[in-house]
Amino acid sequence: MGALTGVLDEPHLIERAQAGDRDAFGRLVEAHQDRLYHFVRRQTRDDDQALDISQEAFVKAWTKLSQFRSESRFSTWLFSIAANECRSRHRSRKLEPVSLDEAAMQVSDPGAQGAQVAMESDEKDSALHKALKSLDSDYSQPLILLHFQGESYQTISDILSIPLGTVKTRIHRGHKFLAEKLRSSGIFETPRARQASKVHKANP
Amino acid sequence: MNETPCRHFEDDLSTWIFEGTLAEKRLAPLKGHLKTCASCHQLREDYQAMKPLWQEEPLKAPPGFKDRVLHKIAVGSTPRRNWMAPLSMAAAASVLAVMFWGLSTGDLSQLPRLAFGEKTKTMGSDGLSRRQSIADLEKEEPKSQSPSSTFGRGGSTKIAGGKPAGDMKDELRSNEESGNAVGEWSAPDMETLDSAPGAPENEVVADTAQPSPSIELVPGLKFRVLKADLPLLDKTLKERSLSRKTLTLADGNTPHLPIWTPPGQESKEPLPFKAEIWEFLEIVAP
Repeated sequence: MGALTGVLDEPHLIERAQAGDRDAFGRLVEAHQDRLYHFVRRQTRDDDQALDISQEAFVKAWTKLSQFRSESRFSTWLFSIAANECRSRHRSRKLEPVSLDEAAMQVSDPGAQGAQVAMESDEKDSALHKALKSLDSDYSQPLILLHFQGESYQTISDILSIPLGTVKTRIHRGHKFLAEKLRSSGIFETPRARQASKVHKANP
Repeated sequence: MNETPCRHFEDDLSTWIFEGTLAEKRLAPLKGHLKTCASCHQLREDYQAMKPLWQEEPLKAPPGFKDRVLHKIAVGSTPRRNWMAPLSMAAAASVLAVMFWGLSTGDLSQLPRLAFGEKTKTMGSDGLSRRQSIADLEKEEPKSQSPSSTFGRGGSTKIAGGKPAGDMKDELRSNEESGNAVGEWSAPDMETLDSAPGAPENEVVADTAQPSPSIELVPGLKFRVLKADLPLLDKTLKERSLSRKTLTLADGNTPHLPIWTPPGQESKEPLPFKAEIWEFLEIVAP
């Protein structure tokens, strides 16, 4: 929760920020920056892009504070701004899709068990993130909000301004698309099977 | 294999594996299907392999993040309380003087409509605002060559982001085909008088002491207007030998188009998005 001493402080901070109190807004930033950055980072190729978009989302929130309605949660409103910014940049091709070929890392030293396990973990995590980024934001955003942010379907519906049924559909479809991408990248294969596959390809 | 049952089971499979909330009456048929359908069986294995991949430590914003945000705010924006607040008194007086002159003479073409480079109040179904970066649009879009009518004083610069009719139609079609029924619309920004001194560098700041950029009602321009404002719009269009047509959205969804705000109403709070109070229009040549 950052600098907030309690959830009840947030409405008061918002009110003060709406009156122009930048310190109050700064406390709101502190309270939400990590989660927002995480949400954005899972849609961007690198840290710099995530940083830029996250900051922009907060700046936009500041300029539009007068439009915030207390009926909704501040985090919902804030994430909506960030989601729109990500979608906007994705469609203007500023968030370049990542090829899943990059996720097909090689295990260089099968003999080093610890290193192998670590590399397998990094390889799989990286492949999931890259698979997510290769999806259209219509599918990646609900998945990120569900799995990485732990948001409910209703909150996802509010953040993305899509009906609840559409949230469910996109999550189900997104899971399937992801599975297909990860499977085609070979990430579900065991190292031994992958090695055997490489040998087979080298000696048909 | 009949695809329809698989699609049905795939959704249940997703719910079962990732959320664990599938009702018992749906779980039994699903398990039965998994015994007979190889592709769904494979999908189940894939989902189970995917499940642990979602486990990760939450990321943290880099150190100094808050300070950077506050710095950007300090050199840029102020909270938008109303359209008058950010303007200097001299600028506000200039705007008011021109507006009153325009209204008193009945010549709306002289009313300055200040197009700002950054934001517009396009409303989502939950009343939340979304905005497009017009700076991005202006980098991408060629100047409009379509016949146009100037609405305002000064030169004939297009509405920020205004496009030839053909490009806009293609974009509307592309948006619809992508399945993004409630997504952004990279159409012209029609927000007025909502800029602060020292606005972020990617905003167009209207200095009302200078001749203002004017807005062209360009054939092909798509936007939405309150139904109550249709008479004024029609009058304006008629004076410029233009007309309008209503956009028919086959799927019933409404795009987020820029809003035409009649002169003198900029200070009003944006209304919640209700399709029945808006008309969705395209400017056409008669």
